[in-house]
Amino acid sequence: MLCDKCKKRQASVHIKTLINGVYVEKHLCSECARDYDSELDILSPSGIVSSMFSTIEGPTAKRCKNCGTTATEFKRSGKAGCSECYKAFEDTILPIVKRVQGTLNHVGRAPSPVVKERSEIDQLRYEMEEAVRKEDYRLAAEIRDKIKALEGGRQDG
Amino acid sequence: MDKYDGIVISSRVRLARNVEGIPFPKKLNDERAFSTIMKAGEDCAKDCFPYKFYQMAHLSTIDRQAIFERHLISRELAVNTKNGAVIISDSEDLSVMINEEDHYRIQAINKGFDLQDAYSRASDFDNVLAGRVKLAYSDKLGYLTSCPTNLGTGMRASVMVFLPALTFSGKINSIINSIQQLSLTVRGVYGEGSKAEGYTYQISNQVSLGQTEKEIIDNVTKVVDVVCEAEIEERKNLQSIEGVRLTDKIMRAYGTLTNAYVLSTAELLECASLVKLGMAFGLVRFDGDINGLIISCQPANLIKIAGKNLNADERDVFRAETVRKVLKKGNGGNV
Ligand SMILES: [Zn+2]
Ligand SMILES: [Zn+2]
Repeated sequence: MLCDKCKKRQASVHIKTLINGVYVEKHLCSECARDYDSELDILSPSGIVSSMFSTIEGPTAKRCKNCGTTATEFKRSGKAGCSECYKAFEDTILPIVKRVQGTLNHVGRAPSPVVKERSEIDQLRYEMEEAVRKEDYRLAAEIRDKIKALEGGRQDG
Repeated sequence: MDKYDGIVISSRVRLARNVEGIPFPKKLNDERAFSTIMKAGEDCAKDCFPYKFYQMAHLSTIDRQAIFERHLISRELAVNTKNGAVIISDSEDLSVMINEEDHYRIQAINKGFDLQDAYSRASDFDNVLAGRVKLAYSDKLGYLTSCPTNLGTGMRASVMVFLPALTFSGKINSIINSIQQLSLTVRGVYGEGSKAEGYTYQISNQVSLGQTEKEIIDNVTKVVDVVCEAEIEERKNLQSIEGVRLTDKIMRAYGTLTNAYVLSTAELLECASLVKLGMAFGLVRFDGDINGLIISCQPANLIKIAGKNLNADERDVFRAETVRKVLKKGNGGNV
């Protein structure tokens, strides 16, 4: 039996699926069955580049002062450039929000900041990592000794 | 054992967050702003749980794809080697994508049907984040996001479900239609669009504004409940209509997985789906994690397990070998 897809090679993989009450059979050669095998080139960066070019528009165009996005650009891409855009083109954005969300009234929660207290040792470890990152090895060594002293004290007690 | 074991695969909550004033990733070209965002994210992780931090630019293509196959990052982030990064908790139940479409995408996952659990873990991280940076938020529109579809709560609550019986009978189509009328979305997890390979679908909220987080969770949960009940009903029908023919199909699939020496991802997905159904029917016993097996047999994960580069042919052979071994170890067998 020849492969359903390339119609050249012998089919060696037989896939039988019931779709909408009908059996659909696929006979594929190992080569074509592999195309199913979400190939490793899926990670080619295609979509990213185009969005990085900003539209060239006249100086009179309505523009977000914070990020430079224009109202036309927003309409075209459907994406805001920064949080300030929501104020800068309120007139353009709100009708779109209303259309996709059906409402303009947030009823969910607001940010509720929590500041985690670090233990003394955790704080020192953190500072040591920072020192290493800044390549200040003298400071890092000093902090390391402090941590050792604290840990030693803990073991003795 | 959960009520919907064998139907619900996992639950996930994602929160989109941005720092006030800093342009969204697509509009950002300032190195210092990028490192500010990354560092704040990592500082929060330090306060919350043991984690790994990866910058896309420092990972190989295989590593990035492997993380993507494990549903820990999106395809968009995987290709963002310019400034994309991710924080992954050691237990892999929480990940924070940095500089995807938004500065932060916090996502918590569990293997059961528990959106509330996922939400509370995601929001723990969110609160710590709010303590470190000023999040973009307005009283009227809620959390401000790059795409207006995520405004408000910035939340997407989704449940991954395995629906072979509803797919076979074709009833899935009318279910998808009625779900869409409730402002929820359904999409196939594998394959493109509505063509769901592996009979696996994701059900999630479509709107994120105008509802509280609790309302969103309750709505999605309610709909998933109904869908699961329909699947249970349809599995009974399927068994009585197809009878021995269905059993034959399932056991042949099981035979393939336990005996094949060459196995493509597509064939694995198809056979493993039937075997999963067989497990639900009590035809096949397997104590291991079959959904985990499917993930570890995706191309990049397989290469990581092998510890060396394999071409597609070699992968098919190694995949077959891995599946045979795992099924034997998991006490697989026909009852
Ligand atoms: Zn072929
Ligand atoms: Zn802006």
